[in-house]
Amino acid sequence: MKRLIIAAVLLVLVITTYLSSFFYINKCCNNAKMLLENSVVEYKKQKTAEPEALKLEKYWDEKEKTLSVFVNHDRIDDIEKAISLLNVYAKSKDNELFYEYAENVGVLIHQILEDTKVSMHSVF
Amino acid sequence: MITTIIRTIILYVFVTFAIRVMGKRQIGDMQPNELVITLLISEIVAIPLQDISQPILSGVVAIFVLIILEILVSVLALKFITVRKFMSGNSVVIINNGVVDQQALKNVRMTVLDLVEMLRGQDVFDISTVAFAVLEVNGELSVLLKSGDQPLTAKDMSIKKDKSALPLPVISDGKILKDALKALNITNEDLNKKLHANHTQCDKVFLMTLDRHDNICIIKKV
Repeated sequence: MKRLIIAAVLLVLVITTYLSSFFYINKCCNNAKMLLENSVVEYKKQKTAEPEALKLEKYWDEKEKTLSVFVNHDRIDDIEKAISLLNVYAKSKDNELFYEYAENVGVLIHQILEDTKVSMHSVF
Repeated sequence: MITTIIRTIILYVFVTFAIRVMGKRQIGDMQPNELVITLLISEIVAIPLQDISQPILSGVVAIFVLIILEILVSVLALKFITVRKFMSGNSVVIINNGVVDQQALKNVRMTVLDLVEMLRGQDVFDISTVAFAVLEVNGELSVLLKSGDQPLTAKDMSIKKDKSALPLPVISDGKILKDALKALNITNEDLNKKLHANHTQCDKVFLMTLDRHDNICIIKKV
């Protein structure tokens, strides 16, 4: 009976950890995606997106510590690097590299989101 | 470096907890599913220890899931005999009524030399004295000797013996073990009287054992 109680407590812990990580990662990544999309829209309109890119960088800085509890640290660092470069190119006008890095950040965030979902690809 | 040290301490705590929940068994006594879980836990722990970019939570959650599985399987194995057979297999009678079952030996992929070696491990040097030998699910061989070859017991000789009592250590390295005193239903004062009767003191005793029949064994400190 004692062992069953331990198993039940652990099961609740595992489910809570899974759900909290799932919702937290989804929330952070979706917000980051939204900020990234805003940057791209602004860049298209005004040929500069410095404030939006800065917002994204600040947001990622805030969230990366908690995210590193759930996600591979290398992936988080890759996104951080890509956002920093995006910030650099957001200041310059008519730069194709901005779009390239925006896409890069989008793909990296999408990869993290994909890993939270159960799929044939992630299981096998 | 400090990260690795902290991670090692955290994982050590979780692995110790996992092994503790699984129960105290040595590798050789483990059922197949317990052995698999022990091997998996050691592998899972190695990943976040070697690669600090891996979140430690992934290792901890995996350990938790393995503990849950182990407990569930052991509970199911207790309730359902089919689960027990599926997870642990069956014990196999190798020697039946003094006859070596050669087919059973083949089935468990054992040679007759392996059998003789295992018998020697059970202090049986003559195979002709064995009535039954059973290969248990944990790989150990249980042996029942023929009635004429079994050691003589007090019961065979109709000798009456005092009921045996378990000697408990009551003093270890000069320290009184209160749990043992409680189990023997004696007080500190009683213990001191016994020490006094043996011309010694608590702090001079390396080990003292005592049973319910007041049999005392004292090893003094050097």
